[in-house]
Amino acid sequence: MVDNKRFFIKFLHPVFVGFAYLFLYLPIIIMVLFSFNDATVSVKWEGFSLRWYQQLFQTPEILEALRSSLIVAIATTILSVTLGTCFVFASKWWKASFLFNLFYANILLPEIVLAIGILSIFTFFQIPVGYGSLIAGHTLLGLGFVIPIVRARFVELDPILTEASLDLGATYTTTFRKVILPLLMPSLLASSLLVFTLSMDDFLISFFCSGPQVQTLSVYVYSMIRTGIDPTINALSGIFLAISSLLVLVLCSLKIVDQVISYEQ
Amino acid sequence: MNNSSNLSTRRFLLKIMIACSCLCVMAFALYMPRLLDFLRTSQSLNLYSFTEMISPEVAQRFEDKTGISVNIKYFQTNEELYAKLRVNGGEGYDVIVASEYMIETLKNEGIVQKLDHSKLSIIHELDERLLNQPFDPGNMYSLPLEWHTYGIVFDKKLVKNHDQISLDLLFQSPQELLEKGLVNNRYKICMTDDPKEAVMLALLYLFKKLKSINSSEFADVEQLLIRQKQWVEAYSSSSLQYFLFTDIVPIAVTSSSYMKKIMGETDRFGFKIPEEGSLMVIENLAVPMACKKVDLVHQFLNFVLAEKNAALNSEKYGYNPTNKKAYAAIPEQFLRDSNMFPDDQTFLRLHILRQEYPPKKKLESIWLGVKCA
Repeated sequence: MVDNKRFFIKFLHPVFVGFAYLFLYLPIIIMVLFSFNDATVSVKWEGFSLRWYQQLFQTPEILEALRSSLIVAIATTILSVTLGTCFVFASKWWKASFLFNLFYANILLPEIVLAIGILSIFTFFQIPVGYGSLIAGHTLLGLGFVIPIVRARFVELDPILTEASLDLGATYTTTFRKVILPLLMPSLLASSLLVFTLSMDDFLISFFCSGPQVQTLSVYVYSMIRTGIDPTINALSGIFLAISSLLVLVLCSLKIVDQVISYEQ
Repeated sequence: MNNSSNLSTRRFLLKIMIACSCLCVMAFALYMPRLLDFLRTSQSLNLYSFTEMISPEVAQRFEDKTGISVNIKYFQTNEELYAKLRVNGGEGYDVIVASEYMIETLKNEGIVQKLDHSKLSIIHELDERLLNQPFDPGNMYSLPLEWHTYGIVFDKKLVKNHDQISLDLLFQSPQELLEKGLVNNRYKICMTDDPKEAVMLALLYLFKKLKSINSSEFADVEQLLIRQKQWVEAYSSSSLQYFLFTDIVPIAVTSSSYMKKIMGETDRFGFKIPEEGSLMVIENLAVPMACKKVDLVHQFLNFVLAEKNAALNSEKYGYNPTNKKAYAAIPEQFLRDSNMFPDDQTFLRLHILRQEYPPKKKLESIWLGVKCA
């Protein structure tokens, strides 16, 4: 029995974990690898080349779509996180926790239903589809993720800390800024990253709610399927991966610095 | 008591005011594009097109020449275009690109507007063979932008007689063809994922006609496509290169423009229009009913179809241009190949997709039957 357990821990466990990570990262590794491949069709390695990265910066359509996606994702993140946090606070004051259940429906509903519903509202009120409609649609989607995350953290907060701060003479604003916000920060950061990724990745709402002025990267990439996707998209994904990895590294390093400082104190 | 009631009323009013200001800000943000459109003095055109159809360079040339900027947005299928145009009547889009059968649908549903031929001097430079087609008689609603053929791409090592390529390669069992000595090996194929194209190819194979098909003939088509599934590796048009280059399939259905890309990579594959005939696709320019910039649009149509611009689009994306003068820009090897650039005789063997054949409901039921079998 003990031998079996030891065998599992020593051999099988690392193998399973290894396979899980391989399954997770292999497609990404291959995608990045082929962005440096000197072949039009990414089926075999034909030598190292930076031509797809060069071509990426010479393709105005992709850069334009990327710009639109970034604008929408950044605006969506700011709006979702701000509105979501306000909603969590407001519902606490109004003692209306049943309102949260309405937001879970947002996650449970198939996105196509949400997308068509949003478009129908815009059409009914004759709202022109463009950046505004796209950001509104994505924010609605994002709220469904921000509110549960922020609320989960918010209910865990010890009310004694807030009371102590107010007792010691801090104003409501100072208490919010110096006590509540730092405690909520991990959930705010996590939900921001999630909403940003969701918005960058979203296709359905982007397809239905974007007008003639805006086209996000996901919609552009999808429209390329007809004529075949070339490795320029691999190059773009490679850049995305590098930027997101850098962000994660920066966040981690900030956390480490924070831990070192608190340890020294 | 009175003071506390006043305080609660004031708080209530404050909440209402906050809610109203939020609504105002939201409405302002959402309606801002309309306001900007109203105030905008510079002219622009919004083009909704397939990818790899009109080069951004052509749009830039147009802007340099006229000062009118062209904003291009892309879609993948005709059905996507239709869904969008149906919802808002094409509002915001000034020019669209659509295949022939979709032009027919949009025309019948009143989504596209009539063109003013007196403003379209370019029409005299276009290939007469592509004009006045049954989907839009007299080109009242559309002008052809580009065209390409559909054929069979085959591995030259697999097929014995390269001059006799027929739909048998798609619809007859590879085992039977091997026994007849027409191919060197058993194989799998890559079939088109477009139900309209698949059904029309099956109709050509079985009955050599596309019109006046009765129910039992449609049933035969369905049976043929279900039987074909045994040797279909994938229903795909876009990832064809992956299947061909990795030797997963040696036979597939593809367009002449896609074939040019394949030929740019390797000479292992041949491309032929099957003996029974095949399909030809004409992509067209049209103007949605909601468009008000009629003069600008006609100016743009003349520009984009002009010799130099048509040649640039063709060179870049591999389609055949519709401007006869731009034919000179087609590389000699493709111009001489009647499978890529059909001569008059080959032209007669090519069929154009139409809205009504096969009827939409029939098409859906056949394709569902095939996919679920």
